[in-house]
Amino acid sequence: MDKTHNAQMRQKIDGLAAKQTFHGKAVFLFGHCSAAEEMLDYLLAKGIGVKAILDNNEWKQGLLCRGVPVVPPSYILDFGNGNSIVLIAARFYEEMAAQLRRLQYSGEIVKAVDYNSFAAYSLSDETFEAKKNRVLRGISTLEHIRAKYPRHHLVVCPYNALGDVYWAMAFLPAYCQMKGIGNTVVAVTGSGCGETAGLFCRKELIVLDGTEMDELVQALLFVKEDNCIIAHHDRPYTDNIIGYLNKHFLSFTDYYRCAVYGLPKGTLPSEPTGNETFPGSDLFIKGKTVILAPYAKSIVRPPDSFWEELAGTYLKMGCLVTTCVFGPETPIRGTAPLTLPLNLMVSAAVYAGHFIGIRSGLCDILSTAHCRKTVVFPDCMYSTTGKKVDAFFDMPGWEKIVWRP
Amino acid sequence: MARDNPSVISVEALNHRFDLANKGRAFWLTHGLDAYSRVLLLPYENGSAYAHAASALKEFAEDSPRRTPEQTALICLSADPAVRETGLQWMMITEEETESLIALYSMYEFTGRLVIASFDLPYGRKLCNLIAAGVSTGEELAKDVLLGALHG
Repeated sequence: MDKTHNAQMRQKIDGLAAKQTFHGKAVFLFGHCSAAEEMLDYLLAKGIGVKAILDNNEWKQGLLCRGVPVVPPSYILDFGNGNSIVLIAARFYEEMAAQLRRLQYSGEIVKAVDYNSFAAYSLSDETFEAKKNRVLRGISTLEHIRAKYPRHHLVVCPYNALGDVYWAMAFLPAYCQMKGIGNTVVAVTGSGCGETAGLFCRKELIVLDGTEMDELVQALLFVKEDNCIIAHHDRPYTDNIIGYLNKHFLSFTDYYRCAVYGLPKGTLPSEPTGNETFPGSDLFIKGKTVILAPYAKSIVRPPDSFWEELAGTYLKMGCLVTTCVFGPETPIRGTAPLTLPLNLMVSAAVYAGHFIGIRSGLCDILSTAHCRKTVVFPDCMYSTTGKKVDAFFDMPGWEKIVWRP
Repeated sequence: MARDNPSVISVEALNHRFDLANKGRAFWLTHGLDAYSRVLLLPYENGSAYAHAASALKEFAEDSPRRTPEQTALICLSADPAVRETGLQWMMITEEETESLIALYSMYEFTGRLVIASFDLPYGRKLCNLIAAGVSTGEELAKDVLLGALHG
């Protein structure tokens, strides 16, 4: 989860706990993912036990997460509607809540995080009015953008993910050439995505917060904005190109190349020109330093013990080992913390000699780094597709470790 | 919505679109479409997508006896009465009613039951790109992606 969603989750749980909502109830989470794990950690830290994690994925059922079993959703029916509660921190909250209701579960279902402001399965007057106002706010944002960039092709990266923005930018020049597009302005969410777009020397760049971006996207959908593209492989909800994965295969990078931009498969991505030269550091022995990147926002990550063992291997070989950290993240035990702006990461990795990271947007940013690179994948499916994460997000040319939870 | 001045969106045009979305809401409620597990909207004036979707629908219908009752709670909304010949439950829908449902769906995701059989509607859908890039064909996309959503 990003900081905003994490804070939202904590506030929701704190509120429920203050009202004694959990008292005497079996607590369930629905949907095993990195967000659910964060929520689980918070609940356990508050002394609130979790009975089980419900999940539709048969492959995950039977696993243990912090000692809590992952079970089929029908398991909830063994518990009374009055003495259980289900917490959901997932984009597909509406569908998941609907599924529980179809199972005849009438207990309390709580949306712990509002991941999906686009969905509200209701046609009430109140909902319609609220959504109309939301569109109007988005239109206000659009009008401000167009006041500054009336004729620019508006390229919207709707999701706060570095890798998504990286490939949207990498294939943008070829798209513009194919379509005869001159000037573009790019809209992204959050400073990290702003830095990522900046790697491609984007001069016309708008950075919005998550709410502003969602509202802008909804406005674009509603007014059918000309001279614009929503450059994402999986959002918003109206676009179903990700459905191609259910019976066929297209890699993450090809999704941007072919599905988002309509470019032929052989089209080469542009390389970023905004990377700067790493000046060196006391933390590094040139060519004999390992940079670990164990953190990712939206993927189940191996425990610290996995990374500590990995770090230990390289420390014994006489390497220096650092951990890439941002914000409240802490370095792996025995390693030094390393915080660098994104435009120094490529040259820092080359200087260091070896980068080992959980599959995240940082790996995409390092795709042009000429050094030893290892990517760690959890052995699980990508979202609701039937495709493995390591297949969809494959990093050709990288060494690969697949970690099974 | 085309605009002479890109930085100004006409209030009149906007209100017309909200009215259209409201008509879509009335249509959905009047016809009780929440009773179905899937509502397949086939926009008729939609180029090759309609032809491919209609063809894939025939095949889907032939497969229907093998599906569970929950999976067959499907209704097709189309201006084309030929859809009735598939044996699937069908309701006539005009072009304006089609636009009203799409306008509503573009305003917010009001349901998880609606499947729109089009390569480029609602706005921003990019299935056509897979055809342009040579990755897939209209026939394959209609069968596996558009109607594939009926199996979900």
